[in-house]
Amino acid sequence: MKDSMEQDQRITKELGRYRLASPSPGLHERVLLAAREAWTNSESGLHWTNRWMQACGKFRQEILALASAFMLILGVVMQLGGSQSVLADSVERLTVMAAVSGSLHRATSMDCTVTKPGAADERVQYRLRWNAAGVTRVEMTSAGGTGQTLWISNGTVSAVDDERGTVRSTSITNIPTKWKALMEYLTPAAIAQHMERFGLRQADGQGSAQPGELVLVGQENQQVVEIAVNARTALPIALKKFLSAPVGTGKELAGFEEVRFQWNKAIPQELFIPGLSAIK
Amino acid sequence: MSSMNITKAILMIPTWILILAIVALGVVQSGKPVNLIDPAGFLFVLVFGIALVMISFPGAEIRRALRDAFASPGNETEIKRSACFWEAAGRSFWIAGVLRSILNFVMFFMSLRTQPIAAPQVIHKGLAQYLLVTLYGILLAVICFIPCWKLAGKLLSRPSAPAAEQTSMARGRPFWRLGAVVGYVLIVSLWVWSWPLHSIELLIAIKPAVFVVLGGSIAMTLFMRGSGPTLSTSFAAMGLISSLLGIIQMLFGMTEGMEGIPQVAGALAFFLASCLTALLGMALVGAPVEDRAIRTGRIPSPSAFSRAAWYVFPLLALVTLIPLVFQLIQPLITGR
Repeated sequence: MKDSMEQDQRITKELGRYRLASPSPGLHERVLLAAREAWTNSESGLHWTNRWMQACGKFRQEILALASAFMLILGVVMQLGGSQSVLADSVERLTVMAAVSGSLHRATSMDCTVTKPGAADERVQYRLRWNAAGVTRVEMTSAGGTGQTLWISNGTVSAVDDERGTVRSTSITNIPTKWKALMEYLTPAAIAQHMERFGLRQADGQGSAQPGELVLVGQENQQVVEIAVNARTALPIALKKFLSAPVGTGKELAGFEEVRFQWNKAIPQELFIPGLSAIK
Repeated sequence: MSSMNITKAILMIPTWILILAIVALGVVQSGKPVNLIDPAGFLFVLVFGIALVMISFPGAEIRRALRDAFASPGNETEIKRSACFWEAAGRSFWIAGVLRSILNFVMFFMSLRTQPIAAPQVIHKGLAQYLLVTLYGILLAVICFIPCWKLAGKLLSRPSAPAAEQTSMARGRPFWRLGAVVGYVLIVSLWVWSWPLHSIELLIAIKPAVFVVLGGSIAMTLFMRGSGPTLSTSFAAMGLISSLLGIIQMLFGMTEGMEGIPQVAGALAFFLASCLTALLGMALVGAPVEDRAIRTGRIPSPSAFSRAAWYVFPLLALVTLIPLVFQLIQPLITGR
């Protein structure tokens, strides 16, 4: 109806352009009818794409308004829906790393236990205690119960000679190989620096997390790294490294290394003085 | 040109050389001049700016504007058109500089997916270098604004011509000139050449912001129908609204501590993508449409809203982006 009225208006306008005298009402109706028929015939002769374009042209504004509303809703839903883009994922990695790193650098003391695989399936446990003065005490306990203690400070390693009861000091570069694997946990700054290589991000499923904890995942070489951090302080609580087992073996991940942390708790200062090993 | 003018022009050459030497000396003395060099960034700003000019103006008008900048200009209409060209060129370089800076930030974040996080010093230096391209954009823009201001001054000193004289040469010409097509092709090629690996990934990553800014801009343009070319204003307004949405979402995320980090990250990504989309929309669509309206005589000059969109929005985006990014990575930098 609206279309035929528009057609009539346009035909009348076209006739008006020739400044014809007003015909009788009957003649006007006949001319209008003939023009409308001619118009319809010309439109039906058009290709369907052209007819489609013409139809779209008539509703251009309506189509644009609909498209804009659709795009607006889609954009807002996508943003608020929680689906994370590649860009957001990358920003998250950096933000997580910055938060954890910042907390580690603010720590005043650290007490952590590292469990690593030793020779012939035995597990070796190390206990590292660090204070803000920059001294780290490392105790090693192997499965057989034998132990050894080192004190590391300012690039110097000190150990107590059990036979003579004296303290021997040497450069950290001469540290035995079995201790070298612990270098990444010596100080919170070293841990932070090492973590930067993991590319940490929040794990998709937080199923294994305790209340108040967040699980972060990353990768180091062929190992999967999982870190549980305190959601409030951003300090690590536990760090686990897994070796990726070949797909199809049933057990996809094999436990490799585990570290448990305790932060900012008072540690007796005597522990950091080489030789005073009676105090534990 | 009279012999007096020739002598004046010859005398000006050593003066310019002296000024340039003083500027160069200042740069050298200011610290490490090597830190101020980013050939890839400069090339991007230069080519992007030239491509935008090619989109807006045909070759004949570019040649005439170049001639008018150095020689004595013709009639009032020609001076107006040349001044308009130089303003558009300055605007293009300014937007190109800011756009590249924001793109640098985006690409830095995108690269973290495949590369380990660099040392804080490296990140810090990189972020500083990202802003260097904005400096290039401003320098090139100022160079273009000098003839614009000169021509505007000449125009003011002349008695105004009758309105009938101000006929338009561009009326009736199609928008899709060869120069415009070449300009768009140049921009796409430059983009792909700059980031061959991340170009498609980036487009997919920024789609929520693209939808919001584009959809909102179309809606605003429909609402403002009949009040001249308003695309630039619409893009800037939607860019501003979306950026603000991102900032608000980010602040809410920050109150949740570690648990809010995905929200913070998503919001920063949305902010970056909104600024990027709005700037691209203004540069590639809004500004050329308005330039064409001026050339065809539909409007006498860009509206105050459009000018605010071209000059204030990029500045706001950049000024807001820097503290936001530094706020996120500050623990990483100050920790060392």
